[in-house]
Amino acid sequence: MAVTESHTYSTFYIDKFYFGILTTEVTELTKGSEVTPVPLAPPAIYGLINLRGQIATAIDMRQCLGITTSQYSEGSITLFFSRNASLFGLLVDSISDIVEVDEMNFEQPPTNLPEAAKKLIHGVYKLPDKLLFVLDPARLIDGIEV
Amino acid sequence: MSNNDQILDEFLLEAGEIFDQLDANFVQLEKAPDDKKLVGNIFRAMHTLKGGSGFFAFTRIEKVAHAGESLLNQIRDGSRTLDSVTIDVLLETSDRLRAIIRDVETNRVEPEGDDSQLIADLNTLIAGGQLERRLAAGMSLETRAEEAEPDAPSEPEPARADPQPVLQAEPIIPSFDDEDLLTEDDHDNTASSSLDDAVPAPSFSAPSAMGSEAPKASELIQPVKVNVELLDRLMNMVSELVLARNRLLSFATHSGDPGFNSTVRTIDMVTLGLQSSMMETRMQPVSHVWSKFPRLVRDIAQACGKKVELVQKGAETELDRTLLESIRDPLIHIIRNSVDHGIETPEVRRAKGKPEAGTITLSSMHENGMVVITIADDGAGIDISKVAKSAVKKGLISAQRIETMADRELVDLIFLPGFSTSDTVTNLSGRGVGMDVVRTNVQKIGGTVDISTSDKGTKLQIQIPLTLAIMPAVFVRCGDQRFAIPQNNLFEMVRHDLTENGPGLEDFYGVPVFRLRNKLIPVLFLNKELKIKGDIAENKDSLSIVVVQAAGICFGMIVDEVLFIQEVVVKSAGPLLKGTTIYSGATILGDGFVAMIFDIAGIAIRSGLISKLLENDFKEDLEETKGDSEGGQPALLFDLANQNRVALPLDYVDRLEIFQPNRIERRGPHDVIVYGDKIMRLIWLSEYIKGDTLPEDPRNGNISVIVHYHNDQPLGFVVKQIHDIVQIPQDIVGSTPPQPGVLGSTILKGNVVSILNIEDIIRWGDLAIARPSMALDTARV
Repeated sequence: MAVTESHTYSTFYIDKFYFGILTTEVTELTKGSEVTPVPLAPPAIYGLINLRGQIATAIDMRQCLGITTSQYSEGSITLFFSRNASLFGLLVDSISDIVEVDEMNFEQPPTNLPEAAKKLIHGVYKLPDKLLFVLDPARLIDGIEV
Repeated sequence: MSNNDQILDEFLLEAGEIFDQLDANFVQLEKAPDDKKLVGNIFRAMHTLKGGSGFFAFTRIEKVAHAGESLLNQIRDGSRTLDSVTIDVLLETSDRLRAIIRDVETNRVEPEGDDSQLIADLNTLIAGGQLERRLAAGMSLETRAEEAEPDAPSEPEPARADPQPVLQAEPIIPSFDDEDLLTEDDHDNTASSSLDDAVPAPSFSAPSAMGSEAPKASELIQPVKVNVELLDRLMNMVSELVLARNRLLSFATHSGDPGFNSTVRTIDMVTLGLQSSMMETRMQPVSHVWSKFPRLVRDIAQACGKKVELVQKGAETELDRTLLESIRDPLIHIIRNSVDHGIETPEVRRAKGKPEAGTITLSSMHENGMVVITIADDGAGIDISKVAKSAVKKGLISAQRIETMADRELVDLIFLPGFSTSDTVTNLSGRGVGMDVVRTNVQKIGGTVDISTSDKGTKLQIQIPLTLAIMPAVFVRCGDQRFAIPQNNLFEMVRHDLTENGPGLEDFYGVPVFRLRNKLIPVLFLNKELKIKGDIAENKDSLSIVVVQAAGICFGMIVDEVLFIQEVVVKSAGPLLKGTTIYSGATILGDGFVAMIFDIAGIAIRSGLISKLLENDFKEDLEETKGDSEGGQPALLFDLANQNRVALPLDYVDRLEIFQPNRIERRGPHDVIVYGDKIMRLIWLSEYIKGDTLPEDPRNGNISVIVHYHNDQPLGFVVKQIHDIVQIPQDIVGSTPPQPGVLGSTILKGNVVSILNIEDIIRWGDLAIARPSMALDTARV
C-alpha cells in the first residue's frame, strides 16, 4: 500500500468556489476588518488593514480570480498569512472547516481553467461531495504585478 | 561548539572596536608624534589583537600584529621617531589586520594569504633599516579609504541577550593573553625582547592595563549591545501600545468609574514614558559616523599631496540610527570632494596667503526639529564658469539656458546626474556620480542639500529630519478618505476664494494654475489624480489648496478638506505597494484606521506636472507673467469702512493683528491698545480718508489692525478688512483734486485702487491734538 501524506487545509468560500490553504500558513482570521482603500494601487490590492498595529495588505481574491458576479459583503472575513516578514490578508466570503485531505485525491488543475485562476490554483482535491481548490499564497503574492 | 563561537563573536566585536580606535589614534598620532600615551594605546590595541588571535590560532593575525607591536614598542620607548613612512607601514599593518578580521567574520576561519612582505618591511624598520617608500603606497591609501567606509555598518554580530557568554569570555581571553606574553619571548627578535625588559612594568602589565583600556576603546558605544531587530520589534510594540492606549482613553471619558479612570491615567503616563524612551534608543550621536572621517581625510589628503585638517563640532548631536546610516555615504562624498577639489595644494594656498593646511569644518546641530549638518572648507570654492561649461559640454543643459541662469542656479548644476568637472577620471573623483547621489540620498530621507560657494571656500548644508519613524503630517480629506502629507513637503495651506473678484483658477498651457500672491502655482485636483469618485465641487465658493514643494517644484493640491496636523508613526505600506510611487508609507490613526502617506515627489512626477513644466519652461514664463507688474511695488490691499480697495505699500506694514474691541482704551483724545510692552496708538484710517459716509460704528466686533512702527513706536491703522498682497504698478494717477492722505490711484485687475500716503496721515496723527477730523478740516483750509 502506498504511503499517503495528509495535510490539513483551512477552507473558505469566495463566491461559490471552495478554496483551501495550508492551515500552517494561516496566522489569523478576523471578521469585518476595516479596509482602507489605496487609490492607484494594483487592482489586486483591496486596501490596507490594521491588524493590531501591523499593516497588512488586503488582497482582493475576486479580482485575482476574475470573479465579477458578486461583491464582498459587510461580513467578509480576512484570512491573514505572512510571507517574507510582510503581512497579507485574503478577503473571503465565509470560512468553512479545517479539512484533512489525502494526497491520493490530489490532482493538477484542469487545463481548461481560466488563465487568471491557473496561476493561483495549485491543484485540486477531490472531496466526497465537492472539489477543494488549493491556493498557494506564495504564488498568489508573486503573481501580483507591482 | 557554540561556546567557542560565542567567544569568537566576542573577539570579533572587540576587534571591530579596536580598529575604530586605531584609526582615530593613528591620525592623532601623526599630529602629535611625541604623544607616548597614544603610542601606548595603539601598542596595547595591537597586543590585545595578538592575544585573542593566538587563542583562536589565527597565525596570520598573530604574526602581523606581533611585528607591528614590536615596531610600536620602539616608538613607545623613544628609540625610534615616527615618520610618515613608519605611519604608512603601521597603517598598512592595521588595514591588513582589519581585512583578515573581516574575512574571519564572514567565514569563521582565517583566510589564506601572504604577509611576508609587510612583515619584512616592519622588521626592516625595527632593525633600523630604511625602507624605500613603495610606489604602491599611494594607491593602497585610496583602497584603504574605500575600505574604511563600508566596514562601519557591519555592526558586528548582534550581541546575545544572554549575558553569560560575556562572563565566560572574560576570564578566558586575558588568560590567553598571559600565555601569549610568555610565548612572546620565545620568538622575539633581539631588539624587541630587550625593549620589553627595558619597559617599566606598569604600562605593560597586560591584563590590568588592558582591563582599564577596554572601556576606553568602547567609549563611543554604550555598555550593552542589543540586537537592532529586537529594538525594532520593541518599537513596533510600543506604537501598538500607544494605539491601544488611545482607545482606552476614549473608554475612560465615558466611564464614571474613578478607579478605572485612574488606572487608565497611569497607563497613559507609562505609555508616554515608554514611547519617548523607546525613541531615544533609536537615536545615536553623529560621532558614530564621523569617527571614521579623520582617517578618511588624512588618506585622501596624502593621496592628493595636500594638507588638510578636519574640525568636528557638535559630534554629540543625535539622530535616528537609520538616518545616520543613510547620510554616511553622502558625507563621505562631500568630504572627498572638499579635499580633492576644494582645498588647494600647499603651494597654491601659500601664494594666496592662506595657511598651508586647509581646514574642513564638520558641524552638526539641531534646528527647528531638523538636524543640520554643515561641511565647510576654506578651499578655492567652485568655479562657476567651469561648472557651466562642463554642464554644456556634457549635454546636460543648453548653452542658451545657461546664460539666463543666476550664479546660484549654476552652482546647483553640480547636482545633475552625470555631472563632473574633472576631465580625467581618477580613483578619487571625476566619475560624475557624486553630487546627484548625495542629493538623491538625502532627499530620500526627507532632507535637503544646499550649497554656497565663494573663493573663500565652499559650504554644504544638509538638513535632515530627526527621525523618520515619527514625523508631523497634515491630514487632508479627499472623497471619504484621509491622507497624510509630510509636513516637510508642506509649503502653505490656502483657502482659495472663487467668488472674489479674482479670477479663480486659470489655465496655463493646459495646466490649471492659481495666483498665490504674485506667483502662479500649478494645481492638481487630488480626486482626479487618485481617481477617487466624487467631485471636489468646482462650483463651490472656495477651494482648499495645499501648496507643497517637492522635486524642486512647488504645486498646489486641491483637496476636499484640510483636517488636522498630527505626529504619525510611519510604517511600510507593504511590498505590493512598492510600485505605487505616490505613497511613501502608511500610518495608523488613533481610531485604528490606516491612512496612506503621500510621497509628494511621486505625485508630482505621476501627474506629469514636472514634465509639463519642463516642456513649457514654466519658470521663465512665470517671470513674464509677472512682467506687467515689474517695476511696481508690493502693497497690502484692504477695505476701509467707508471705501473699498485701498492699498498701502508693504514697506509700511510690519504686522497684521486682530484685536477684540474691549481691549481698546481711551487715553485723552486717542484710542490706544496695549501691544506687547508698548502702548500702540490706534488710527482709524476711515476717519482720515474722504469716502462715503461713515457706516455704523465700526467698533463692534473684532478690529483688523495694520501695525507700523514709526520711530520705534507702534502705530495701529484700523481697517475694515484685509485682503491680500498685490503688486501695484509704478504709474499712479494722482487724484484731482488732490485728496488728503491719498497718494493717488491705479488700476488693478480692472478695479480702481487708492493708494494711501501714510506719511501724510502720520503727520496729521501726530499733530492732531483734537479729533483727527478737525485736523482734516484745517488741512483743507
